[in-house]
Amino acid sequence: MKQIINIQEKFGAELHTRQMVERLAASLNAADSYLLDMSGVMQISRSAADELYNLTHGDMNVDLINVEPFVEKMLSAVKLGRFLPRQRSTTDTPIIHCETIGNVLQQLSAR
Amino acid sequence: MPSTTPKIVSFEDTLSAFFAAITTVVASSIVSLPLQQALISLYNQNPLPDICQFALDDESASVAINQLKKNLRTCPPEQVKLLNSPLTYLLDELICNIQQHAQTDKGYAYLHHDAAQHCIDIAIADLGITIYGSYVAAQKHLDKLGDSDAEALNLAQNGYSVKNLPDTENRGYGISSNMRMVVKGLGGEFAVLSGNALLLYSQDTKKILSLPSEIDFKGTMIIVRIPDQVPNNFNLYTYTS
Repeated sequence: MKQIINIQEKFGAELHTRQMVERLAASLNAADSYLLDMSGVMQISRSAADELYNLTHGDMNVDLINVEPFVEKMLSAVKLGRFLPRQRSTTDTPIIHCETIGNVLQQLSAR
Repeated sequence: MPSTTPKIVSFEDTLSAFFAAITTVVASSIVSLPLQQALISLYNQNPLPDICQFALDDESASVAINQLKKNLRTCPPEQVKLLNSPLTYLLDELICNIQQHAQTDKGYAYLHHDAAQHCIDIAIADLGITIYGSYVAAQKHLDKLGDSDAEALNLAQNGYSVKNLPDTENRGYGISSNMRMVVKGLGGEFAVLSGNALLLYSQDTKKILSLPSEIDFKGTMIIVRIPDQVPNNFNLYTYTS
């Protein structure tokens, strides 16, 4: 029998930080199975979603139910990121050495 | 105006003034607002009311994020609704970065809607180990890093994380994705000050300044200015993966 955990009741409607999910994970028992009821969780950071992905794809038996559209999209972004190579800018950002405050001011005002 | 060379000192009791001043300078861009003004403000220690300090536990961070978003009350309600997701994303990720990397026990945040200028200024800061210090502490990417705060900023803006899983690059989105979202998505400007380096990113420029030795911020501060109108074609998910 899977235990259902209501995430909104535990953390509110927004999962802001990775730490929140880490704390949740630490409270779970590896021998048990869980359903995380995500109804009412309307916002999630990418970091929290990444940690949630770790939790649901790791050694523990944890699944999500009732995932709201925003959270679903963020989880999809995380999932996609796991399988695609990271895209990075091919152009270098110039590093400009400013010896004086005057140089800094010049750079700040130069477009 | 002080007669000696101004020096930015990262003591907490001067942070709020510095915070306010540098926010104005960099956010308002990179636009020719003189840095001296920031330094003078620092010396005068004028605090700003929209700054909050928060502990880095989850509850305090959540309270801070919600408190900051209340500073949008002067924005038109329909824009507040549109701004909610990108602002929450920005604040979440940057505060999460402090929790994960800065090795400090609190953060500072500022959010101010300037109705006259139709923009929102945001800053998130900590007095932690700097981005350079975070790479060194984790012993990651040292070959690319040298001894330079500027190189560390360059790595961070390219999404090089210190905490990836062994077989995937699942982390390092905090600064890199928010930079793109702010500048490309929302038409804003983004700056990062860490140690003695300053990254500036706007529609017209992207560069990293290695600052003179008088300026050395013992921590990391992210400074953002965005218009208070979200573009019609803005899509958050373009920037999250």
